Amino acid sequence: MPNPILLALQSWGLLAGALGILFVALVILNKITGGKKKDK
Amino acid sequence: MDTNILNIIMIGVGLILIYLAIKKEMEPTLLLPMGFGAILVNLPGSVMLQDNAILQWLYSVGIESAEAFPLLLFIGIGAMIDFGPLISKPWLIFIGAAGQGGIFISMILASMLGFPLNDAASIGIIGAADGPTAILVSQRLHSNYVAAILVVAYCYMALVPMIQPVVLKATTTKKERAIQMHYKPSAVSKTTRIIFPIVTTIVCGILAPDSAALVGMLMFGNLLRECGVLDSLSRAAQDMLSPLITLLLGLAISPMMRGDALLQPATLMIMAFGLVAFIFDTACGVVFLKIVNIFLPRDKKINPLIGGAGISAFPMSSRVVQKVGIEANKQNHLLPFALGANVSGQIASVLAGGLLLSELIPFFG
Repeated sequence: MPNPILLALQSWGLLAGALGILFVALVILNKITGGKKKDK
Repeated sequence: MDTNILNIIMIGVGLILIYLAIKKEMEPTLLLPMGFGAILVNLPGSVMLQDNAILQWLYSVGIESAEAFPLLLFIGIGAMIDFGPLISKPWLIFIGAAGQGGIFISMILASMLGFPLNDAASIGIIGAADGPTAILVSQRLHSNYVAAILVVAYCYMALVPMIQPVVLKATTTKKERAIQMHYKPSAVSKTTRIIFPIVTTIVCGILAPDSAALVGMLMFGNLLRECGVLDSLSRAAQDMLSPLITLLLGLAISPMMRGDALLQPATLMIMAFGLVAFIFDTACGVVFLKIVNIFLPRDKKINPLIGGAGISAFPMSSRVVQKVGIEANKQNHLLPFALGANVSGQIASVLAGGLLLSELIPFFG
């Protein structure tokens, strides 16, 4: 059975990591598509 | 306590929910069906609890078997969300992570006070400020308190405009609240808007497989909105699917609103933990930005109020942040930043639920 504190830290850390990956993806996407400015 | 008395109390609770929905306009799309359903299932000799009754059928099909209603609802929610404010300022995504702190803190506290870990995690997920996530997590972890968790979650979501300003003012100084943010609108390309939901689904699905369904449905709805070739489906998801599923979800939850299921001593504790979750969600987002500000030059500081929008209560939380910001500085316009943080919180809350499911389903699933 997982320890609740370790579970919380691990999950929160993974959450931050996943969003960090999305951050990098967004920065790259914005740079690549930056010339095609077509706002909806 | 005698079951009949509990049933009578629950009929009273149902009336209160209906009152809150109609008179106070608190989450009426959900509280009204829930309140009415509570009355139906607590009537003496209620046939609504028989296996072939309509409310049982809705519960069985919509929640118990494949969590269909929360997942379908997320398509509609995804179709309503504009991720533009987040895409144009990617750094806002980290506020969404910080804004889920209340989930984990509440889970730890509930566990320390004797709740088994599956119940503690389900209680903590009230802090996700997201009904479908709360339903899905508490159902799949076989929590004993699904009904209480749902009622508490939706009530607190409706109380965000009352809870958050207090926490925001308690965790910031007036000088910090007055920090002016200058918003420069930047165009977001259509390509990025289309690729974002796809990339998010893939990343979240790989890191937290149990979040794939929730995140996937949310992002599918968003893709319908952004792709530009399915406007009719996007409108249907927003205008027909979402209200219809919300209506059915409120009724489907009703079988859990029996007096003997909901009126337990633990329900009061769950209400307390839910409040703790919301408070710490807000506080963690604010504190995160205050820490970031330590490393920023004076003229580049971020208004820490924006951290309060990292909670998933969209868009109420953004409006609260905007309002509290304007009270401190009439020139301030925090809404664009708050909206970006808010939609990030939507993704983060779903992912948090999925991560907890991934860890706990082997033990409780």
